[in-house]
Amino acid sequence: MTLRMAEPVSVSLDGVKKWYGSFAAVRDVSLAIAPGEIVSLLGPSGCGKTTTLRMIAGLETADEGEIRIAGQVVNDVAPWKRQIGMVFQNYALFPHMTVEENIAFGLQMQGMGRSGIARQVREAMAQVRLGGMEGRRPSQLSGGQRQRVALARAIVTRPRVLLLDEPLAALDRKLREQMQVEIRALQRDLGITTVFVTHDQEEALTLSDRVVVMEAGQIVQSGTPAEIYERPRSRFVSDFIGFTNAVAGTVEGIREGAMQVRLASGHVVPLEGAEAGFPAGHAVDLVIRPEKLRLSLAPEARPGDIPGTVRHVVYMGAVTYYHVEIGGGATLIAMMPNDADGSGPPGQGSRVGLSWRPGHMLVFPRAAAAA
Amino acid sequence: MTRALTEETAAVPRMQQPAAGAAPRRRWRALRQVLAPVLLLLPGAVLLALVLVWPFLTMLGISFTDRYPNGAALTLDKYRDVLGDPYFLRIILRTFGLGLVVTAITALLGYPVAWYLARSRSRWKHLVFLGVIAPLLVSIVVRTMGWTILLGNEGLVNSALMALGLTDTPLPLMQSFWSVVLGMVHILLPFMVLSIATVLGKIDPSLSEAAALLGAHPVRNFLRVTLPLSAQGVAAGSVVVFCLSIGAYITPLWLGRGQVTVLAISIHEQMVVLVDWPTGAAASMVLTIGTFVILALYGLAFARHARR
Ligand SMILES: Nc1ncnc2c1ncn2[C@@H]1O[C@H](COP(=O)(O)OP(=O)(O)OP(=O)(O)O)[C@@H](O)[C@H]1O
Ligand SMILES: [Mg+2]
Repeated sequence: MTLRMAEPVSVSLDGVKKWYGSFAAVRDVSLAIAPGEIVSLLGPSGCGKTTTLRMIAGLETADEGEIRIAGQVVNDVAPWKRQIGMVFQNYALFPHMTVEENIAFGLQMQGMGRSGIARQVREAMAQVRLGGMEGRRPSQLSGGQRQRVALARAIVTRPRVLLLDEPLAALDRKLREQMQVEIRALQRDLGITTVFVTHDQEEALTLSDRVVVMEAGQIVQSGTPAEIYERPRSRFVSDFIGFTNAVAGTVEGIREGAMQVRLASGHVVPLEGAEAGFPAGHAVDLVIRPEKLRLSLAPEARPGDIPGTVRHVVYMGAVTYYHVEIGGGATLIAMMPNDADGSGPPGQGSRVGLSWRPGHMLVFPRAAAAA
Repeated sequence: MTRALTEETAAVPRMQQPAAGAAPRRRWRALRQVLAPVLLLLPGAVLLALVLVWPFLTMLGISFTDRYPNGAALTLDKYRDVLGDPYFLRIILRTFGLGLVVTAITALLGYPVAWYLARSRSRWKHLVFLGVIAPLLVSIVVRTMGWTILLGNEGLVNSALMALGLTDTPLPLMQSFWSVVLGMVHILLPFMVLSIATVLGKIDPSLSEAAALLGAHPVRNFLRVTLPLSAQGVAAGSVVVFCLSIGAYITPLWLGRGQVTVLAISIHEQMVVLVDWPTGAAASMVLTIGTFVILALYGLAFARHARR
């Protein structure tokens, strides 16, 4: 790979806050990003992702807290001195310049010579597979091509940090998945510390070393994609990361080392390995992902199972979703791969049993809003 | 009328029988492509022909006669009079010089104001905007009057200077080319500010943010990104200000106190005072054609710049 970066650098935020008037857009964000790491900021609209990114870039000043790049506090360093590459949500390509001129801009600002610029631009364009587009204006490009130009423009200057603000949001699914793979490969090749903003949880999971989930200007959980997916720390995170089932229940007490929860349907469910113990009588939500539910066709045969009736069957190609009514107004959705193991899939109306491995059913205190 | 037109255009293709097929439909579409612009342009074109082209052609005709009315021969004499006379030449140069100077100054003064209006998030912004357009609400006559009150022999500036003992006799603040420039800049500045601000306001602020992150220092950032992208606004404002200033009459007359004769004043003199229509018409033609030539050069330069 010809475009090689200098040593990767760390980025850290320490107690960073940002107010717009009396509104706290970012309240107390602390985050340490290791050199060469790719971190995604994930969260609902308005939770402060863009603001956080813009503070790292220096386009917005932090009202409190410290931002460090390579260990140095950069709060007062102007954006044009920070050596940061950024891909804006709308790409922000210069409309009056050709593709080539757009990519060359940063190198010109560095005072590089003509021949050096030409070579580097050519290499960057090859890297994002834009060959032949040199003379076009941004307005003559497709969304995916624009995105590549923006990426090439951001990496050609060999920045210390790469910031991506929902760069794939405008692309269709297929192109988006393709670009995710490319960005990941590029980032790995260049070894460049990257912060990636998205509100697409799938994108966050596939693209990052670490996922940082934000809510209302704060980080609510940060961890590897698997940690975030398997062990969400709150109902908010579990809902935000992937599709989940939730059923309401009440804690009965602890028996045989497991917390007993009575569901609205009347079933009492033992929860081994439930981390947080709740006092008896506490209202909780039981949360499980559809693919963690196991479906068996003979409910009576298996004593631990929760019996239910299949109400809907949603065929999705590789998998099928079964909406199982378990009584008391509660429905759990189970996902099964369509691997045709011969037993035959349960049809609508069939009686089934639901079970799960210990630890897969998560317990969260019932939030007022979620009740 | 437009409503009827759209209904008709929508209805006709649907009425075509499938058997009648694609050919008539294609012909209709072709016709529509020709017709639509014609109909859209017609009212404006008629008005333009009536109020612009017709008087222009009349004046053009008069400028080639030796006398008006009852002119006999077709002659170029009057053009020779206008272009050959050092007095007229000086007026022509002064007029276009005034236009260029006023345009340049309004552009230089107007750009920062337009920038402020387009970019500031301050709550004073609306006041500044009001301040910019307020002069447009007052007639040019009144505004020029204001300047004569300020700059006259008994005016505010001279009274102040004399009260401070800086001068014994009133300074001739009016009668000069620059006093006319001052008044014209004041009067025409809003046009420049508004046309630049409109274009600046449409520039995506993230463009200069992107440039900054690519290492562009604010000055280079401005020169490479914002200025080229706002050039159209400067161009549009310049055309308006230039055309208005070379055609100005009242302001050069009053603030120049007869010492700063421009073409408009001279034309008025020829036609109304001296009742020499052909010479006045020839001078008008010089003004008009000169304007066209300068605008065309400007347009060419701009097109080349934009293509780059
Ligand atoms: N210039 C501003 N003035 C006032 N409030 C602002 C400004 N910019 C952002 N905000 C507010 O700050 C909050 C965080 O905004 P931010 O753009 O960081 O959200 P986000 O997480 O990027 O959302 P999205 O996913 O919709 O892009 C929002 O509530 C927004 O309304
Ligand atoms: Mg955002």
